[in-house]
Amino acid sequence: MCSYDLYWDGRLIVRNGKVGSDPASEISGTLHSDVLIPSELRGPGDHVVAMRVSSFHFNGPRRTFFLNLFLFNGDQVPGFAVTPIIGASFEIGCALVAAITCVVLFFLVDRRRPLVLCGFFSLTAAFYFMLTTERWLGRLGLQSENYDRVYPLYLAREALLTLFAFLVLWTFLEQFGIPGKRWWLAADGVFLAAIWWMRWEDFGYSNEETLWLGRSAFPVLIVAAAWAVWRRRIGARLALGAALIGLVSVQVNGAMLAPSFSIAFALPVLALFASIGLQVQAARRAARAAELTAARMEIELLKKNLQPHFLLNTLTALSEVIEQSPSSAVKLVNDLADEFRSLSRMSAEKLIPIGQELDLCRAHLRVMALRTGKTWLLEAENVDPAALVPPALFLTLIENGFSHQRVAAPAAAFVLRQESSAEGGLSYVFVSPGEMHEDPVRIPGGTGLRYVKARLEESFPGRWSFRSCKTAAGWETVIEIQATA
Amino acid sequence: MRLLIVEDEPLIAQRLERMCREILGAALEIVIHAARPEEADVRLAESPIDLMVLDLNLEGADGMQLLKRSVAGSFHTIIVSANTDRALEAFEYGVLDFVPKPFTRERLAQALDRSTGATARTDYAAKYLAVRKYGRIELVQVDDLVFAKGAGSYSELVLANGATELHDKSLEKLQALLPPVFERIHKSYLVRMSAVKALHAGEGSHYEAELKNGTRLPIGRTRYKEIKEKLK
Repeated sequence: MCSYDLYWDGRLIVRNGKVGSDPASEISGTLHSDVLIPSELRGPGDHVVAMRVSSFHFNGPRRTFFLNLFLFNGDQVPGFAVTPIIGASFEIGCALVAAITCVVLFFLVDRRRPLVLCGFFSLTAAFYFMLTTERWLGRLGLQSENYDRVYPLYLAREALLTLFAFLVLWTFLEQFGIPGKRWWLAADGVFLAAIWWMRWEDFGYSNEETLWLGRSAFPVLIVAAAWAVWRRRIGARLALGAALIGLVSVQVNGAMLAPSFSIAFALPVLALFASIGLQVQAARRAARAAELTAARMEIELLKKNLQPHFLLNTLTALSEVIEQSPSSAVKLVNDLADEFRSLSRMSAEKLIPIGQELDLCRAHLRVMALRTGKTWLLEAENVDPAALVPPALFLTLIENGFSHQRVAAPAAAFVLRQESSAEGGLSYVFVSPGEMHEDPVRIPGGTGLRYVKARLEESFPGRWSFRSCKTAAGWETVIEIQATA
Repeated sequence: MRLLIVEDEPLIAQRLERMCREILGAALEIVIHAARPEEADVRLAESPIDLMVLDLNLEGADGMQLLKRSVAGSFHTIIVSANTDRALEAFEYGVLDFVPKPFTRERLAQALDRSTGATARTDYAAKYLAVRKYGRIELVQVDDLVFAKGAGSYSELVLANGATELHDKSLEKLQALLPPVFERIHKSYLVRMSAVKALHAGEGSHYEAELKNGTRLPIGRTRYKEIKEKLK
């Protein structure tokens, strides 16, 4: 009630505001007030308490009168007045620390959207607890809400709680990459609005609405987290556990200052931190694996041309050329040196301009020309020399051509054609001349192709394709690289 | 000597042919050249040879198949290859020598010496003998071999289980591939010494070796003393 006059054994001992007969004549008092009973009126025996009350300034949807009287020793602050404040202060502290932690993690560890959202919902929780606490401060005689503000503050508190429920769901959606984010949020918005609409009459009169908001928020979180668990998202189990415990907590005790509510708030934050931690760890592991792959690729590349078959056969041919024609031998040595120089220059690179790749291929073909006694050409059609490709990509296809195809003619050409595909992507068509060996035990996709595919995945993860087939001209390989989204 | 060179790189084939001619001189009757093992099969069907110099990429199953096919022939096989890490395996299948690339004239001469019998044994003995059976190549474990009997240009292998297999190589060529535990006790018999139970001297310089399975094999008159020494 907004204002009252309290009489003790017929004597007026306190006035809270001014009791009136209409909103104009009433002046609202405070929500809480402690009344000291004069010593001469105290004493054993029956006492009569009488009150004149009015509540025109309670601006809720319906007028109510609530009266709670507690008798306590005025020299001491009563326990029931202090306990909620201690709890709430602790919660304000926790929520603020969580919010600050989110900011620190965001700037120093990883700029993830879930951290921003988590920071916001922690802050929301901190404000919620602040508003809750303020109402109890009057008990300590520090400050008390004027009755005019009671209802707006109620609404503000419940609005914060609603925002909290909405933000936690949003954070979950972001954190676990749950698809259809907008639909989820829109549906949750409608859901929360429906709860407001249904409970509107009661808002501000009891703690029921807190319970209702909790009841509505946690099942949605459970569904979202369960989906994430089903799709094996990192840390999703923790989030699901937190949401389940949260639901149980608000079911057990939905009072806004009950410890169960603090648990319900704290667990999603902890689950979120833990799952971000796990994700960062997984990302770091993936990064290390990628580094190792890159190192392995580099070794693969060097091994390819240091492989005994190529090098030793070339040296054997060289021994013969030295004896037959020393000047040709010098040329062969130079060509071989060219090839190795190119290889060592690009071995540490993930991507190189096609121009360099073509130089490497041609150096290799010059060596092979001397060895095989045939003329080998590499024709580049419409190729942008600056376009980037993994090193030794086409060299590997040429090597495959030499090991699996036979050319009867004294001269033959490999052809590389660049085509632009739809949506800004690129494709490379590579034709290797000659008939395929009739080799029944040949394993398709040997080490050479494994290298090509691993390199493509390394540089264009998930947006490349590789296919090859027999054509009239020989063996055609098409590598497609889609544009980044 | 009739020589078949299987090598797809013309420069290396030239080198092999030139060096073989220099080393073998007049002993070399004819050199046939094939660029691929399949082509070699055709050449082999056309005319018999004494020695095959084979460039074999031993990577993968096809390499081993070709190796088995060539070592089952009546001729010796010398591998000239860059895949030195598979050399031991090649020896196990019964190649006479494995010349790693790049090679020198001296190294090639050493291999050719073996084929002409100048240096009889290989450094590494065969573990298997490839035999043709119903048109397929099958491997016989050398450990199962008790003795081999010469039968003209081929040999008959007698195994521990009593079975016999025909092998396309002559006893001389076989001896060059088998480990030293096999002794030539007679011009027609090559026997595992550990299988011999006793030696018997009969009338008129007629000597026999009794094997543990009861088989009696003749011993050459000139070889008896040496065999007796070795059995002590």
